[in-house]
Amino acid sequence: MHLFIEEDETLLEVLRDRLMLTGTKQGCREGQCGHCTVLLDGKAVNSCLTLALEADGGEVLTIEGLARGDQLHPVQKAYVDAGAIQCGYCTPGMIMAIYALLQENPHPREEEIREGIKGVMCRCTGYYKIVEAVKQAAAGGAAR
Amino acid sequence: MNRSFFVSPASVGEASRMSQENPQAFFMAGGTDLLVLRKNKLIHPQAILYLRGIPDLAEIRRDANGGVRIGACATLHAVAKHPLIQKGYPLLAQAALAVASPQIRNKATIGGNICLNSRCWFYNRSPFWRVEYSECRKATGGTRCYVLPQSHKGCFALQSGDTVGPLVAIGAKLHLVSSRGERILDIEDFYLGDGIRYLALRSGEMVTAVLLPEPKGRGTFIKFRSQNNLDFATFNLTLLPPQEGRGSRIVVSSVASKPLRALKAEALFDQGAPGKEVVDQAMKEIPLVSFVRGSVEFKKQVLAARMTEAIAAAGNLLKE
Amino acid sequence: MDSPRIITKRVNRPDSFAKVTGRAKFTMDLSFPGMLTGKILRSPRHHARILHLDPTPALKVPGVKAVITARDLPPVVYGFGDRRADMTVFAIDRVRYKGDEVAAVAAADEDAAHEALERIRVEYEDLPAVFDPEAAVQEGAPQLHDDSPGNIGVRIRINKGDMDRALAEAYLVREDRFDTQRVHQSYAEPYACVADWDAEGKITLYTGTMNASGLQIMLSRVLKVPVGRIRVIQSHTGGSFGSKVVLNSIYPASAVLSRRTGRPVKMVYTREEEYFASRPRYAGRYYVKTAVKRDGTILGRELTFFYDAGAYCDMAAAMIIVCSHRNDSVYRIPSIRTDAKLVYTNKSPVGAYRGYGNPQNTFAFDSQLDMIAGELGLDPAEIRLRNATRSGDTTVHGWKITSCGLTEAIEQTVKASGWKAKRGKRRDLRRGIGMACTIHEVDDRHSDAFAGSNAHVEILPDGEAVIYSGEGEYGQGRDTVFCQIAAEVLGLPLESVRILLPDTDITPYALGPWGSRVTYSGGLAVARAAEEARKILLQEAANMLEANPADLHLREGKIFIRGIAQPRATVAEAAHFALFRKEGKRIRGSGQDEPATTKMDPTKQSSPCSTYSFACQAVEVEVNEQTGEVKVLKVWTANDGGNILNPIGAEGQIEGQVLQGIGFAKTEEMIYRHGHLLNPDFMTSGTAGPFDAPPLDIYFTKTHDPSGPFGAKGVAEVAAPPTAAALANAIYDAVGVRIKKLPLSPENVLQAVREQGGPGR
Repeated sequence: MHLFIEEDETLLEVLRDRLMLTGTKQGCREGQCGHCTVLLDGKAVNSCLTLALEADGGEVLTIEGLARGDQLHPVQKAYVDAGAIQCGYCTPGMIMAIYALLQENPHPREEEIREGIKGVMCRCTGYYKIVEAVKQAAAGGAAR
Repeated sequence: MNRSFFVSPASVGEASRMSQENPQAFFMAGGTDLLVLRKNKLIHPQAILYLRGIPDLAEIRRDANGGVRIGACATLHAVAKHPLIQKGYPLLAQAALAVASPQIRNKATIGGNICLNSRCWFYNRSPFWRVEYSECRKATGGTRCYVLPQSHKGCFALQSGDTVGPLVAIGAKLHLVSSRGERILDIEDFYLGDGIRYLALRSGEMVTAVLLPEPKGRGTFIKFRSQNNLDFATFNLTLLPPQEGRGSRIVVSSVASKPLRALKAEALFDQGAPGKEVVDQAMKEIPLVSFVRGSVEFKKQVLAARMTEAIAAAGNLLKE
Repeated sequence: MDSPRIITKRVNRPDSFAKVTGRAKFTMDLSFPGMLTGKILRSPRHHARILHLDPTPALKVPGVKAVITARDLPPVVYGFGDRRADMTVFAIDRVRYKGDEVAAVAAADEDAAHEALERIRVEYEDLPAVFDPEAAVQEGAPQLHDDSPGNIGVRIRINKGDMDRALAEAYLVREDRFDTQRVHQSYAEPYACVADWDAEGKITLYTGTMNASGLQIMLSRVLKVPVGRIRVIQSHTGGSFGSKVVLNSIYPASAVLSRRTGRPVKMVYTREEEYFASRPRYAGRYYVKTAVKRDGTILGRELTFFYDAGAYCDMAAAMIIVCSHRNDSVYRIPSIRTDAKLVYTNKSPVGAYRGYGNPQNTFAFDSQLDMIAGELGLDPAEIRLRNATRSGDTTVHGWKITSCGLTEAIEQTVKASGWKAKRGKRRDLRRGIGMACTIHEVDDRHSDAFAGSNAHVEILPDGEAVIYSGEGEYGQGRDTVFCQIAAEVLGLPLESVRILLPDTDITPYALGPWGSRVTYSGGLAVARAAEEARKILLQEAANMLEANPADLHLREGKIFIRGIAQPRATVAEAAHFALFRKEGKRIRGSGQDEPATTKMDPTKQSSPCSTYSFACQAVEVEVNEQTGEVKVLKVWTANDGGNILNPIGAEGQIEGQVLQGIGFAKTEEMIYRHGHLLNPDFMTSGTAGPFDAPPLDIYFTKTHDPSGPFGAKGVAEVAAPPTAAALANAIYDAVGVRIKKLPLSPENVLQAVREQGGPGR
């Protein structure tokens, strides 16, 4: 894809304002909440602390890229079935962080799950059903 | 001349030259600190010299002396997960893993962590917040310090990178390169002890690698955070017990403008003095002044407690 | 009733797909042609006169289209509902907190907007400021509002029973002071809105509000625009926990900017603005004096209470009334004497945060109850069982308790937590267990006017049903439970029921989120609307099938005649028939719940709530007396929410509340230094994270409320209040140190250990 952008635009701004991919959320713009989490070259990053130019020539995966049409990715399905969604604002960032975690560590221990998601702030769930969702996703081989 | 804001130099030499030509050009690796400083209008880069396009700056490999060479642009995640680091320098791996979140660690680099701009509650805030503290020496070149109001000069912003403590304990060296030459510096000599003139970097110079000597042995790394799990440390303690009566290290970092070593306490530790004596001596040598993230009294108490626990644990380690 | 098919079952949220794919649109995601970006200019001073305000230089910034100040709005001074009016959208001649709104701009982009703000010329003359409520009521303190001498915005005095006699007769009287801190709701989505004031004079406001109906009315009042010309549309909302019920100045500001520019205007809070200028939880100072008999029976409680409101009352004026009453009904307390003062200080105004004062009150009262138990040599569980409110009680304020699972909750907590083996027995391990109980209102009448919920349910010709309700969905599960209720009543599969987010042009008026009432009151309205729709449907089906409506029943979207196994028709067919026959009609039912309640009034007895929820919670800890660190080993909750209609949702609510409770108890604080907020961000304000979430046991009592929809009550706020008190009580059990100030941070714990004799008592 080719885009003309300002040199100091963040990846978050480009995704949301230029590409209209509003699935990735803006929460704090200082790297604390993780609601802007996307994968850059396979690694979960805060897109608010990434200049769009850092992605030049690279590959960005956003929440919009996970499901195939109406077919949810196994991580998404596990998340829904575990009841891990309440307000849904942190959900895209959380799903991306979980996806990245399972890519690297397909069978994480509970402590590794918590470490893997701690970069995404959730205020609704207390993280209980989110951790459960990750366990279910891992058990179901979602890392494939 | 048409000047770009975002520049991707092809080599260290080129980056160094560009930096010397434009004092308002900033090196950027992960950008996780730089972009926030810019947003808060604490720095005003005219250009960003992006380092991650330079080849070979992120490599982690054994070096000829039996130690390990870590490229400055290796991410904290890469450092934490590398088998060479996990096996030979577990405290460094632990420290890298203690930083913030996976998202930050996937971008933040070890070079950036070592060179991390010194931090202070009254500095790392937005312009709106800082209106109240408009005389901060570091933020505005003003006349006051809000951490030590009785001081007439100096800045007490804190060295805050978590990897620094273990690197000091390990005895790491830094490979510094500029277009005019290169040098190797002990990491302890890298920090000048002032919050504003913070690093011993010359114009155009950058850290290209961290050089670790042969692995020394096991120890303890503690990052004490009293509140939120993403936060910077209230203090870091890195403790290496003596091996055959020498080489112990007691390093307390993130509490001053440079990492602190309790040299006399280390000597006592080497000699096999009782833990309490070592701790009491160490506490005399660690001047805690900043109330940021906890009063001085609180930090002293917890530091002493943690150090006592760590020495006891190290005693057990030695017995194994 | 037949066995429930859908209610009480574990079902997925209807909006799951939209949220998990990132397709659900929150306000910040909305985009309109020509939309401008708005920003507010906020006072950097704590308390100052505005000597001079000149916004015109802002217009010279390229891309800036408009700038407004108080002069551009009608001079309306407003409060919350019919409460004390002391606010204006923009400061007129005085700013009263750092963050107070002074002006606003609309520009082509954020950078231009920021530059415009910097160009606005304001000359302030500082006034002395006051930041502590007890200092603010002293003679000579700086006055924030000319009509509130002593900075007291509201004062509530209650005198029930005979407190003097209680004190005289008591075996023991304890007097203690407790302090709780400001914390922020820290919801994920910042305040945001898009306003469009169109050419026909109609204002459309998109925002993540909990209270679309109420906001429409507040906007009408503040802008002096008829209610019919205002449309509030709730976008998907990223959490709120009570905050987003207020009239945030960005709403009228963006509307006026839109009118001025002829374009839609979007305004979004930065995260820092959230801390400086939204509506966090008030800090409370409690002087509690309780009289008890030798056996622990409570005779009476006297309370002097300072509610630190910040610079304006806003909804605190309504909240303080509830705070002054509610916690008197969790135990049987015959005499109450309360003097509650809502005090102005030069800080941002406060608002509602999950519990509406309950967490603070419970910390004070249930900490002290343990102290009383200790002096009497009673087990804390025993003293609570002795005094617990029971079903059938009329409490000291006249509140009628028609269902109550509190005793069951306490007994269950004792059993599940291993209380008897643990309490008072593991001090050598520095481990302890503590408990606390609470009551929470379901519904809460604030006014003499309509205080209920309306709903419509329509069955469409395709056999699907649509619910129209003015109650909001902000993560708590309204959508799920309303769809469950309608599906249950109509015999439809859950997937066939849809619900709209509130839109005041389409959804009927509803009171909003006061006292965990959405499932209860909103649910009753939906059930009644569904019931009416059902009757109409059956009548139409009867006509279509030439049968007797009494012989028909509904299941899985199909219509059956009694005694015949095969379905005779589908709901879709009947709905289609109804609409397209001669003189056809829509199948649309309406329902209302108007609670048979009376307003809370300090001077008399009342029955302000439809019913009450209860909870007991136990927390087990291990304390490190050298570092002040408190490890929470496990939490047990036992919650009376009546019949639990949405188990997954209810569990999620309890889980979220417990972590928020841990945050309030232990890690979170908005720290003010000489009145200046030090830590306006998630991280340094101590927001609890995944490593703070303790192992958790959740129990729901087997309570069935006689008036709730299918016996339900509310669970959204009842598990948040007890955690802090239970934690403080557990610390006391572990190390014999009593801490009466929140948060129970390592530093505060260490200070208490030091002051109370050092480690190893």
